[in-house]
Amino acid sequence: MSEQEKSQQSAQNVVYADWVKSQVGAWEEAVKRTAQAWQAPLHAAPEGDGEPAKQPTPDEIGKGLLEFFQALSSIAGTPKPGDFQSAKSIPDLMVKMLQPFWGYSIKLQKQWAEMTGATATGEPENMAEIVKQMTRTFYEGQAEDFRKILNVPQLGLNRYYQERFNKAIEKASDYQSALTEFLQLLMIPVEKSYYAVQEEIAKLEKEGKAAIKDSRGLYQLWIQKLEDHYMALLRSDDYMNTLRETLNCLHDYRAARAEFFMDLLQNLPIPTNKDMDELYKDLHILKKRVKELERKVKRDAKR
Amino acid sequence: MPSDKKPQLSELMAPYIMAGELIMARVAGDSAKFYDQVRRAKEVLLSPLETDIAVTPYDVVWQEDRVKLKHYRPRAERSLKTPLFIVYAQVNRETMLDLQPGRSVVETFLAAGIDIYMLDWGYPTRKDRFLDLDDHVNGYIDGAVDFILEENGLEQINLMAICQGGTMSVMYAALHPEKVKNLVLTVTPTNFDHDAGLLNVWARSLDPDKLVASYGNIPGDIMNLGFLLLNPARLMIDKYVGLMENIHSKDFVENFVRMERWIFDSPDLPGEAFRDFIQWMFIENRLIKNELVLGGRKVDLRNITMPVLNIYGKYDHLVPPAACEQTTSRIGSTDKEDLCLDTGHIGIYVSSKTQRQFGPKIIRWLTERDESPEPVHAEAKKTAPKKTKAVPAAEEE
Repeated sequence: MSEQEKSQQSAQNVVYADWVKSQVGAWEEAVKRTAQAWQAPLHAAPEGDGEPAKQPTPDEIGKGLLEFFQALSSIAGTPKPGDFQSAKSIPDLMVKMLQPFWGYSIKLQKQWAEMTGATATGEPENMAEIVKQMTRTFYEGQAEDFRKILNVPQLGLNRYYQERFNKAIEKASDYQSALTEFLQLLMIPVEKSYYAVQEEIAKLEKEGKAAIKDSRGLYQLWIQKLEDHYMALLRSDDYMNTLRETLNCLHDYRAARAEFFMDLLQNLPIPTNKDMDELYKDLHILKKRVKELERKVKRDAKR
Repeated sequence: MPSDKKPQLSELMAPYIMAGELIMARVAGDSAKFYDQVRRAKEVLLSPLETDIAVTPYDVVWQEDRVKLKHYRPRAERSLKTPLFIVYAQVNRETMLDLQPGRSVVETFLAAGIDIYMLDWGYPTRKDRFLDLDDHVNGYIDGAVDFILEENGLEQINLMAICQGGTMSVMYAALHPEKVKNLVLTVTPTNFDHDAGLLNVWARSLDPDKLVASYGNIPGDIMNLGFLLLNPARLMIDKYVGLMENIHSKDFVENFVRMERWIFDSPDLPGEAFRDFIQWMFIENRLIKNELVLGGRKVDLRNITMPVLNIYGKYDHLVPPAACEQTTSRIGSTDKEDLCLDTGHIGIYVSSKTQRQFGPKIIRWLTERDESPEPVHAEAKKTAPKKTKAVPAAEEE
């Protein structure tokens, strides 16, 4: 190795070491913040001279988590290619491979921050809407990029197998997206019933009627409101459309999965569902014909 | 929904926290009560519980594929010449009619001296996915009826049917009226063109072809999930809160567990039969319009000329009155009666109040018609069905 090469390598090592150090620092900070965020409520007992330790509010916990995620995503900031030529190093490759995921992670963080009021923008005002929008962000992001990758034309001997595998992945993702949206709909009545209970109590107070004093009465009021809101939801077009979409996605996913597994099973001495269904259908037709014949014989014997 | 300001995380979570707190407060009450509750719950749950269902003895006297015919022998002297053949739905199991001693329709009938045959549809497997509606009506039901007739040396049976089993029995009675002496329909839907129940609204928007292509047979768990979603607040929350409140009571826990065992004992539905039922009944409403064809024969409700008793529940959310009350006006019988009870879909069979009305009414109705010679035929003049209002149990007794 020449002096020049040695010097180059040494410079690369310095840059790489700096990069590794910065990444380790970021991870340490992220882990520390998370630990603080989660553990604080567990160590809420008074400390020292009896002065109670300040308990973090849920917002502070949320903020801690947010910072954790932000710290995490900073790891995605890889060294510039010119800094050193170790682009084939494992950490670099991994970071590059994970780049799209970090991209969505950042999008999701921003959305979460906006929705929970950490920043001044953003529309939704309930958890159900947050889940819905985050799901959409995630899966639409996927639709933009991963779908393109999954639909890259496959070539050669294995093309059909690869296509079926990719299709199963794509349909699984579609189904997950639809299912999450469906489940999000089911959250809505829980939130609406909360406000309905508050309104009802305020109304009673305004009318000067006795407020509900015991938990039993409050529970009854809440469960009734919850039932009413579910009944309204379950009859709505929104629910019907989402249900239909979820079932369609489920069908597409199961069909794609079955095709993929068929490829696997065909190489093993195991019959596929398709094989068995064909056999069952033959058996069904044969049994029907035998039954008909038996009846005919019985009828003839009676004559 | 309040506010112009952005909600904080704590506010967003408030509805869920409140729900949890209310449930806990309802279940636990004050701490003294809670600890007492836990202690007594422990005693109950760790003690031997009697939760068996369908304990009345029977013999399996006929079987075709997975479908069996149970024969319950009467405990008293036979009061009816004609045996009663009961056809339950394929959704859930016929064990509901014999839930527990003291809450058993089967027991009530046997005590009255009725000879009972009951169809057990069994648990369909993938092998059964091609069995269609025709196979069930003209195959299994007819096979069982032929067996009963042959074994008893009779020409006709009394047929009693439940829910979807009732719909199939209406088809059967229209196709084979000569084999049915009296027909008792309970919570039996024949009209599917209404929005009174969520089940109808949902089923009409299903694509049965896709479901059958996906699953083969429709899993019982999927059906059950659908039923739970008909009223999540009551069926997935309130019901279990009720259990926690009463967990110190052995009787309550035993009854609850029995009901749970029955509810979640849901066989899969054969794919083709499911497809036929959803498409022809829920989507096209063929039966009530006399447009259904089974096994190459038209199912004409006017062929139903035997006496018909049609019982349904006023508060039935699965098969609401709108689904049942047209039946008697569409059939050819002159002797027909509608009875609407103040109860729900399952309450008809298991609630102690309706137990005092339901069984005795059927026994009396069948007894009055046991001696009548031949069924009245279709040419007979059409008459309006007799409408009976539910009477208080004490009066009924």
